[in-house]
Amino acid sequence: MNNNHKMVKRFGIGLCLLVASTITYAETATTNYQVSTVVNKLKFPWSLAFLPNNDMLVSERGGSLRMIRDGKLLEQKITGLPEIYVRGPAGLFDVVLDPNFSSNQKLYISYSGGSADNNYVEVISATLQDMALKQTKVIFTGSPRNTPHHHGARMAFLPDDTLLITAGDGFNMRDQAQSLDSMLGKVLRINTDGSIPADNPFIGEKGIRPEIYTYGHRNPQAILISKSNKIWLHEHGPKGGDELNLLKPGLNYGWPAITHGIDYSGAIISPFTEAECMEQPIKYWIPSIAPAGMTEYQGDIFPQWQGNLFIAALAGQSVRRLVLDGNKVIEEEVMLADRNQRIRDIRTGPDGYIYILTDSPQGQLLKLMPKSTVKH
Amino acid sequence: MVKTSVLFIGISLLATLLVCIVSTQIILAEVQSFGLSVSIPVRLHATMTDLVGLGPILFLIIASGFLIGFIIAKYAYQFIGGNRTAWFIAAGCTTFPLTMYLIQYTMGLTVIASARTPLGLFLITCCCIVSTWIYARLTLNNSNDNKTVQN
Repeated sequence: MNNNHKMVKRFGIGLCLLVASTITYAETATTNYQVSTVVNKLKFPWSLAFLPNNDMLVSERGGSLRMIRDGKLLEQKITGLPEIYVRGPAGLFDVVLDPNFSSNQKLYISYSGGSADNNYVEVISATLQDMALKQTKVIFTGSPRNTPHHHGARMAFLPDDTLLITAGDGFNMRDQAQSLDSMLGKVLRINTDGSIPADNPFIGEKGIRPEIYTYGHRNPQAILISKSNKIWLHEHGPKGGDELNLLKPGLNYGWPAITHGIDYSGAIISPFTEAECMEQPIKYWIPSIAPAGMTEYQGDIFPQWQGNLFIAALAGQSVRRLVLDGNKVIEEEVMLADRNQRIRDIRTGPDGYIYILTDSPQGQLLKLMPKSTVKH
Repeated sequence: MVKTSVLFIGISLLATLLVCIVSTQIILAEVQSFGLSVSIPVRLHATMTDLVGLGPILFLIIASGFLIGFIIAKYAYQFIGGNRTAWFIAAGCTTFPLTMYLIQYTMGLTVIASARTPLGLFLITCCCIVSTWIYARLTLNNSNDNKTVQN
């Protein structure tokens, strides 16, 4: 009886210690960063770019390019955008600065052009002068489609200053992702004047679009070149099967011949998840998180996150922090899930903080910072 | 009324079964066009998987289309006349493509992947026509009885 009493007492103390340590750990885990709101009232913001003078450019899907200066969203919008086809997920997409922006003020903007029956991803180059785009030139026009869905339309510069552009499969035309005479479902590589780099993987091959860099993609909504010059891309899967891929020129990433997802209707898309000569994703998500933007953290503010990939999740309503060991994802942390916000884009600012765009008609620009630096 | 309802559900299920089987074969043909071979066990498994996964949504699409189509066919025959079976076949011929068109128009996408090509849509429509023809034949006596009563 006495022994039993002691055992219960010990068990109780042990349990208390366990609960206390769990709470302490959870407190530590949740208090090493905090979120503050930089700007409100962005209408479906899509992409973010940091100018050398600390201003920020934000594209809004509805067709507006906005400027944030001194932490405030300017009422005046950037003028000089081309005509944009806006419907559902189609509209104004990515904005990327030229690697030599400081000297040439050049930037690149992707958007959907055309009409409901015939629309396409288009990219312009332009120079930013005050609040206007000048010297606008169309440098890329993608293959036509008849849906407003799956444009992709993210861009990134390779170290040789060529531009990678992601192009979605257009939803209804998913088979085109495997067709090398179409630019749908591809990553494309061009020079900034719109010409084709002479060392593209399929250059000179008959019946193959020379712009193609990789193929077999569904709806790639983020692409980045890492510090070690790896090309990371993630893409929306259907119902399940969102993928994180490591790109290498000329390779086939499988969609829709192989996939880990099924169609929204519940139908199979392919009975295969792997096949010869088709690349496997580094990571895939079931159920879908609907990945949008992505950044590789290389700032000084969060030294513990050096080299981690941060992925914005729309349906997942969170940020996913991926810890990598070489080309393997060894850990995934779900962040900001308590905010219940669709996250459209995520970037590392030049100041080392992480900036996040939420996807809503009342979209926000959020700033992720260590808790100790939050000013009250 | 009960017999007609049972027949309607039965014929919607038959159409769903036919469309689902055809639909899977269209998708597998697409997969084969990418250079992958589909063995018979894989084909059978894919077909069964689709019956469970795609079947319910197909049934909803087909049954709701048939419901509207059959009502129109019934009254068209009653007020305009002509060949009763032809009216029902016309319903079978139009309801699925119209439903796909409406979904494409409102959502900007064709939700049933196998119906995205003209050939796929044609084959699916054939399944619907066969089903509606059977329905028209099976309900012929009901229709004649109604006409006799009215006379």
